[in-house]
Amino acid sequence: MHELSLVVNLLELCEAEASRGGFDRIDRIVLEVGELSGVSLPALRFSFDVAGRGSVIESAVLEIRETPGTGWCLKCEETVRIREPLRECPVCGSLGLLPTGGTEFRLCELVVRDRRTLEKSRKGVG
Amino acid sequence: MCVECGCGAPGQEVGGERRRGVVLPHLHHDHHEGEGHEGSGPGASLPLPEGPEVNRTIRIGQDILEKNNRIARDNRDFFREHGIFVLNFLSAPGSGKTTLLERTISALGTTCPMAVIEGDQETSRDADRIRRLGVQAVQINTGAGCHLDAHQVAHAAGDLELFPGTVLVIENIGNLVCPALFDLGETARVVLFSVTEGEDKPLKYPRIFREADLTLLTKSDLLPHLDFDRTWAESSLRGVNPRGETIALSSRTGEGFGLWLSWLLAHREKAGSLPQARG
Repeated sequence: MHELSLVVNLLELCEAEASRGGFDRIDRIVLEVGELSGVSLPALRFSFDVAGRGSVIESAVLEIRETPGTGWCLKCEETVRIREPLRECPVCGSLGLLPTGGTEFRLCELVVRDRRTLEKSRKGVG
Repeated sequence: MCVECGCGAPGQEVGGERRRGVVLPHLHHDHHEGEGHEGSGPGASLPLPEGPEVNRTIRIGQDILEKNNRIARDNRDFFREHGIFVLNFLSAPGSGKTTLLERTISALGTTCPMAVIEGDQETSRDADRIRRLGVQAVQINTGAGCHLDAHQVAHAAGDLELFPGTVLVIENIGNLVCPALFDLGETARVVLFSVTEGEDKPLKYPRIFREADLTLLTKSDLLPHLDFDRTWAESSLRGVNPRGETIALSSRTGEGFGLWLSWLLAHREKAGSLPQARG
């Protein structure tokens, strides 16, 4: 259940952003989660609901962009599509794949609500 | 004061050199929150002007484990600079991590200084076992936590007296899932896989085996009594981790210990952790 620790880390990032950016409400949190990241999405969503209560992320919608797992096959010498568990190359069937993509676990963007933006946009238009 | 947790431990030594070795400082003093953020400088929040609320999007692109990774990088730099060779021991509970450590400490004797950080949910039983052998040990109790993180290791290492050439073993929480994600700043990862666990463990828990520099197939003395298919187990290990090494050993009989100790000492040497600074 490391997802709870991950959400605590995410919450700290969001709180730091809120403090810097002067907002107190986040409407949407966009995460990139790789297929080989070792993160369980149901556990992540569950932890998000529990750990987020009473915080800046409480009312946020969690949007997850999944990225596919890829690996380098030592035999084919090519990048191939892989999923866990890492058993064999889907092309040549050999063992021996090094993961090259899909291990990300990243906070991409926050959609936040505040008043400052309107002031800025007014200035921009005017 | 520690910026991560705000502890101002008065007894905490910072950067002190002792007569024969280094004393680890509180390792994570120099972090800066929010490095690499675009469009957001440090500083206090601004008062909001009046007006209707609107949405805006902030692009961040930060690894959520960045905080842990940043402390781990600092740990690693510190260990490297001070010639300390650090192993992260990972496995399921009951695979024989502490017993392996006890036998390793006895086998190496005084030829190789050692120190241990023990991670368990509760009790100091493991640290007590290590201390009985005359080796420094710090126990971390994680309570509900299922893994050690770099911040805990930075604190624990600060409580140890570490010399150049020391082998510092971090015995992680017995768990094949969560500890895999948390870099502690170790030099190498050693995963223990006991023959009583069944040969398909690497396929069922690939992440942890994938990142092992060495997998130790423990309790090998039990092989004659089990239906464990060693060839199949080793082939599944190679499947998830084509580059890692594997050694079968028994802490009870000492079988395979020569290979393990050779690996340990060779990698310590390769990492530049030679005990030449002693005396």
